[in-house]
Amino acid sequence: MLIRAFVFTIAMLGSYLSYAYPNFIGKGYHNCLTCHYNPYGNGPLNDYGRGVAASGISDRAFISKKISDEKLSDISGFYFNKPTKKSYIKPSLDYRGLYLKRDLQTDDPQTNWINMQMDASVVLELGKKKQYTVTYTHSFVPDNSLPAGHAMFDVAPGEHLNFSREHYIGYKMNKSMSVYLGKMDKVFGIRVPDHTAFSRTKTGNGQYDATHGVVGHLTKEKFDLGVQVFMGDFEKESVYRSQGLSSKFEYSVNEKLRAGISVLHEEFDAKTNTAYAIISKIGIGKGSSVMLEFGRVNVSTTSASPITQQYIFLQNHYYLRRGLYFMTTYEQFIDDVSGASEEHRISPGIQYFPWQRLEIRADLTNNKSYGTNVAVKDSWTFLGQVHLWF
Amino acid sequence: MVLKILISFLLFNFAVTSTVHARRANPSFKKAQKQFKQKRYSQSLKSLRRGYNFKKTRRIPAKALFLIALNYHKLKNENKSIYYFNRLIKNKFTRKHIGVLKALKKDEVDEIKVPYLLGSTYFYLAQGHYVKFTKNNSIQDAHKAKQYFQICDDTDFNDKCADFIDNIELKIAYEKKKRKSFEFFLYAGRLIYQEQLTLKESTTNTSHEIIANNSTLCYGAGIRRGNAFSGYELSGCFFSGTATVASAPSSGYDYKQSGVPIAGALVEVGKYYKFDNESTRFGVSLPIIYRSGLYSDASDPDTGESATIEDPRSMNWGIMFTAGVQVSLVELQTKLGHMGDANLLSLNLGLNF
Repeated sequence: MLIRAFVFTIAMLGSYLSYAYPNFIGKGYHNCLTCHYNPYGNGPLNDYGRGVAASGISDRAFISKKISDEKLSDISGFYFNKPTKKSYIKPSLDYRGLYLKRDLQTDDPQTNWINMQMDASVVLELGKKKQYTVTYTHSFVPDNSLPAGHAMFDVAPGEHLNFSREHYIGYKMNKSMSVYLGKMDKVFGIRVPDHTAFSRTKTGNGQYDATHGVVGHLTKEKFDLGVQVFMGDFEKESVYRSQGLSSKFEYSVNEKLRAGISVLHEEFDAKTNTAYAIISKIGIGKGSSVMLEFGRVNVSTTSASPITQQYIFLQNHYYLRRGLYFMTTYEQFIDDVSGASEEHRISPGIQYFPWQRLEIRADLTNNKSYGTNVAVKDSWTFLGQVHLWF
Repeated sequence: MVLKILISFLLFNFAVTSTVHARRANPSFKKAQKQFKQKRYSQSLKSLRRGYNFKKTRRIPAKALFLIALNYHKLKNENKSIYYFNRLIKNKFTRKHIGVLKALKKDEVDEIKVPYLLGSTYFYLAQGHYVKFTKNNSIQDAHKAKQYFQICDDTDFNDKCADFIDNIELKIAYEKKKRKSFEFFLYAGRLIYQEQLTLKESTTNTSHEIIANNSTLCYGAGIRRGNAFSGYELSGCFFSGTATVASAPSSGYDYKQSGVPIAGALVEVGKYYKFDNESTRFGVSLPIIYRSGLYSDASDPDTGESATIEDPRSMNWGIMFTAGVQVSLVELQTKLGHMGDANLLSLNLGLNF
């Protein structure tokens, strides 16, 4: 039954598969919609995504040989059950915790535990062909895990943040066209889970940068095109809301190479950002990949001269065995291309999916800040992450 | 079990169908046949040796020669077994054998009628070469084994032959991957690293630690010796660029200089491992870096005290980790190293040939 559901899903969504992270182009997965309800990833996994995570992505080292991959798929549902076509309510839970140790180069490194994500989601699949999707993800952020800019949600010190990470109504008009109305992340660049990456923070695509708007998505066997018109996150203080437009076009040159461009324009009360990026994902070997995003951001403010920022995001994902990856992430950021200052980050790391519902990741980051006015000492950061999903 | 049935069938076949030959058969042959059935292969060979001169194979009847070769095969003496099977082919089936090989080239073996004894000879020759291949990893034996199993498969002599062929192909591919060879490569990339320099005041001889951030481009080449799984690497590059040098606020001396021309060389020797269908590479190496910089002398704006950088030339060594992905001949490498007091980051694009 589940296999039939898989086949149906694949047939519905085209020949390329997808999974939670864009790195999995190394396994032939090109776009996000096959495994996520959101056409650009993030948010709850659909039944297929759960099945793939259980039977194709996660390690089997802790699983008895008597249990087949198909059986693992069968217990990948929220209630450790077999997802069925008849069930139209799909609940899910997500947790991400981060052990952060900064300034390792000093005698007094700073240590924090950050609850990055504590989400409860529910998805309703409605209609005869399940052409309607209604999604709501509620997120709880404890006070000690709030980002520096938590003022944007008007949360007083000592208070926790309760907000909706995303909620939308989706309608699939046919096999290739769909439209979504609600709060979603912006359609821009490669949506990596590294939400502190320059490619995300500098382009207005950070952890708390989802926005209300409308997304139109066109998917074909060879390409994906998404356009989003947004009006800002109504849960935020008005000064932190931005209106604008973003879009992304990706084309599959072949089974292992996908390239594209992305553009974003957003206007705040006192600032205007225009970002544009070239993106590329290459699958290598049996499951390795290289992802590259090169972009620029034109920043105009009412109080200062406009500047152009530039960033590079390069992430190599090395397949070691099923469930286990080595990663190197290189990032460069130039705050003003007319200047000579630049920041570099190199982060070797390990990513491991010991079994379905659990991901462990450890990265060591070397931060370099180079400029003509000052010589800043390199800093080192350790990031240990645990990700649970049900 | 299949082999037992086959051997029994062959021996039974000789005894029953070759009536004329049986009548004429050397008594030693009969005895040897009996001993063979009893799995007394050495005694069987002794009996055959009494009846025939092993050095003059032309005078040995086909079935006796086959039994000699088979006994050696059972005794795991593959060299002798192969020798006598080849003698059998040469003495008794030369023309037929040539025809079979020609047909094999044209993929037409199935159209040829191969005598049962010759078919059996091919089957055991294939096994003999296969055993030799597994012992000495000789690709030549692998190809011979594959050739004979191919004939066996095309003539439907034995169902297992196709499996053997698949297995050999996998083993050949593996053996080829295990073979070590030299590989040369060129690379170019961005090399940035931070080091500490010492600034010494001229009159008081007081030393201050200052930071130098070096941003350079590196052009190099290297050589690897290894197989598809691991190997050793020696490489080097020349780099040039600029440095920003500045004292820490707490150093007690205000020094700052940017755009300092620097140049140097990086040499490293290390071990690497390849994963994921040989498309990724991880390495650890021992690097030595030499750097020369044209630093200016300084004069503290507050005190007027002049100072000089003590180490305009430096040499450091340490450890470096490399991770690379390869697409065709092009390789993208990320390197992170620690050498003395220097942290090094390198991003290279290489060409392997």
